[in-house]
Amino acid sequence: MINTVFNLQLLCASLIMLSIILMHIVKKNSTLVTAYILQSLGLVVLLGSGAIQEKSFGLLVVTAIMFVIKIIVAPSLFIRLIKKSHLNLSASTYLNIPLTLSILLGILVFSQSDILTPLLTLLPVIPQIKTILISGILMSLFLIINRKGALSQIIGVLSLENTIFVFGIFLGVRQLSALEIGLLFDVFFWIVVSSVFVTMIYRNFGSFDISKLNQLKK
Amino acid sequence: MAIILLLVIPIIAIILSALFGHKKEILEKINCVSSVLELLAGGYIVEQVVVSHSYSLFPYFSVEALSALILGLTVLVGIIATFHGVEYFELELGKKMISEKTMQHSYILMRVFLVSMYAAIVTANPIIMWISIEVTSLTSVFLINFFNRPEDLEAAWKFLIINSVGLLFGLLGTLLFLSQGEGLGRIFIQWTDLMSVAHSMSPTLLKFAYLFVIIGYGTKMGFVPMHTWKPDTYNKAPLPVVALLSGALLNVAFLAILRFTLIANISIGKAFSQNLFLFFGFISVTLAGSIIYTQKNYKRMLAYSTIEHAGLMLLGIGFGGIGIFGALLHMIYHSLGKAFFFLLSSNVAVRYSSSIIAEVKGLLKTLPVTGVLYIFAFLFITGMPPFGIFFSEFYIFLGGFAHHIIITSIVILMLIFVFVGFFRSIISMVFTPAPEGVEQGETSMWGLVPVGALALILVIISFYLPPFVTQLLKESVQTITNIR
Repeated sequence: MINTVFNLQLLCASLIMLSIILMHIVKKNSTLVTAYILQSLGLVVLLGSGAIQEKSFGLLVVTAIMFVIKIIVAPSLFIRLIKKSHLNLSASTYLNIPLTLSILLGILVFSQSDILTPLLTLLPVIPQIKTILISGILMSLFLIINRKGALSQIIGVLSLENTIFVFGIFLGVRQLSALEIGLLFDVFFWIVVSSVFVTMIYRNFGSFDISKLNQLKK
Repeated sequence: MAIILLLVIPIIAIILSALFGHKKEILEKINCVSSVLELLAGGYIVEQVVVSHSYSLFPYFSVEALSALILGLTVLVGIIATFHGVEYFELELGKKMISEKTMQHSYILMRVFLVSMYAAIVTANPIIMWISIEVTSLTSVFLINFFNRPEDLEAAWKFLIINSVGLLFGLLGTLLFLSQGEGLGRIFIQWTDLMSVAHSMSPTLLKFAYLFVIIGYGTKMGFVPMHTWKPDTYNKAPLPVVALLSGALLNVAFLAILRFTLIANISIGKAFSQNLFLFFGFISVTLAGSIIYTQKNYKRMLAYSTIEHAGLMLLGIGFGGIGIFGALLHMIYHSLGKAFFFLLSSNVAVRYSSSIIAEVKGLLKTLPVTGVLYIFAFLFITGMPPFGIFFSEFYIFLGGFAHHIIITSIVILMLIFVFVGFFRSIISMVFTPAPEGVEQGETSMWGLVPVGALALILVIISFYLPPFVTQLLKESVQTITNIR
């Protein structure tokens, strides 16, 4: 049983990690959304397995809501946005693919450095997962910085949020289910608000490319 | 009960505004009445804290001296911004800059913004505080895009992304703090619970957690280097909303930082937080000071002034001793003083339809009362004696000279730059001949009554602090000092 749990944890963490790398290298917005679905799936499975293990009904409800928000609602909103705008090819990155991959590698190496040891010792998981969690947070942050597309930035923020949620799960932080649901509703509203803004950006600038947003400099 | 009322009143106002707000007069009445009732509920809570040292609705809400102080400021700035907003929104509507629908949405969003700030202040739980502060971001992003022009959209987008990323780091820090309260065996952890187990928390881990919290809520407070959203936001958002951002939300984020500081100091000791406060405070004042000196846009100048004053508050806490008292006193004066300055600036912005200093001339002729009050606001906010900020800065520097003479000296030098920068701009705006084609005379009383009332409050509290404020200040200082 313990082995199964560890394997599942490692599988989910790996899925989350791979999805972030995929987000960095894909060019199509629809593939970006698929990567986000995969990542969210990893998070949902992780949370769901915890709920079953703890036999917690509250956590199961939280998992169900998370599934609806992150795997059904958010991707549908994004796909609708892409279809409406006919902009399936995402805006490019500031750095090219080889440079982006080099930085991702650098982040991976940094995540195993001694400076983070105190933070990592607290997590009751195997070292590989610890590295994945830290590098996941940093890589998501890099995604927000490196991508020019507004939709890519939204997915970057949501990816950062997913990795922080996973971090919280591994830390064993349990809050009142109502609070956890509150957090998820907050995420839901964030997704809606940011989608509205992406639509407005497209209407005003004819593109998702935020490097075209240069009115403030004038 | 008063806490429930404080949270329910604006929610009722939101519902009523959504249902019956298509008529401008009804919308204005709903929001003005709501703000008066919020002031009464908030005032009652503050009074209860003064009498009994704390006021709580166990276990979900709790208000003590520091949060009562901030709650008092928030309801006060809230009512003044709402009343001033009536005039502002009407004028923008008259100029066809906004539609009636936008006006209705703005009133609703302003109330959501206010109620989420109240919730963040009165909650006993760190996660609810985080959610509430995140809600302020989600509402203000629409308010920043008030005029719906491309540049407003750009500012709103910048605000949304930077604040969201910052707050996610705040959430990470909060989770790390909460993970240390695991031994409590509770699923609703209060601030006081975390403090009671702080001595057994891992100091090294808390350093990481505290850093994340500082980055997270520091982004919301807007100190350097997490300030980049601020000048653009303050330049583009409607000014009554900016008055709320600068005069109220900044304090709420400061409260979050201070609450985590109290817990961290027990485990790590005061040196860690003190050094961080000094670092961020120092770079905020120096950068903001040098930019104010060369600023050509008065709204951006006020935005950098907010960054400078946030830096001064951090420095006061970092200096310790009398500096802590100075920082909290500074928070009061800045909150009201900056709201006053922004509301006056909204009169200027509506009249001149420009935020460029060179395009605003002859303020004394075009807006005689606003012009005079503008000079007062300038003297107040730059810390000229005998006004309040002079004294709060004096206390901060008194704390600084005890142990950090070099930092204090450089900061004082930067404040001279700030003064000169403001002085040049204000002279150019106020004491120059009025340009042709700009209407002369104040538009109506509505734009002046709220700012006039605020001016009166600023003069009074510069010379006389009501005993209840002194008591709350003393108790707040005591809370911070005992743990330091």
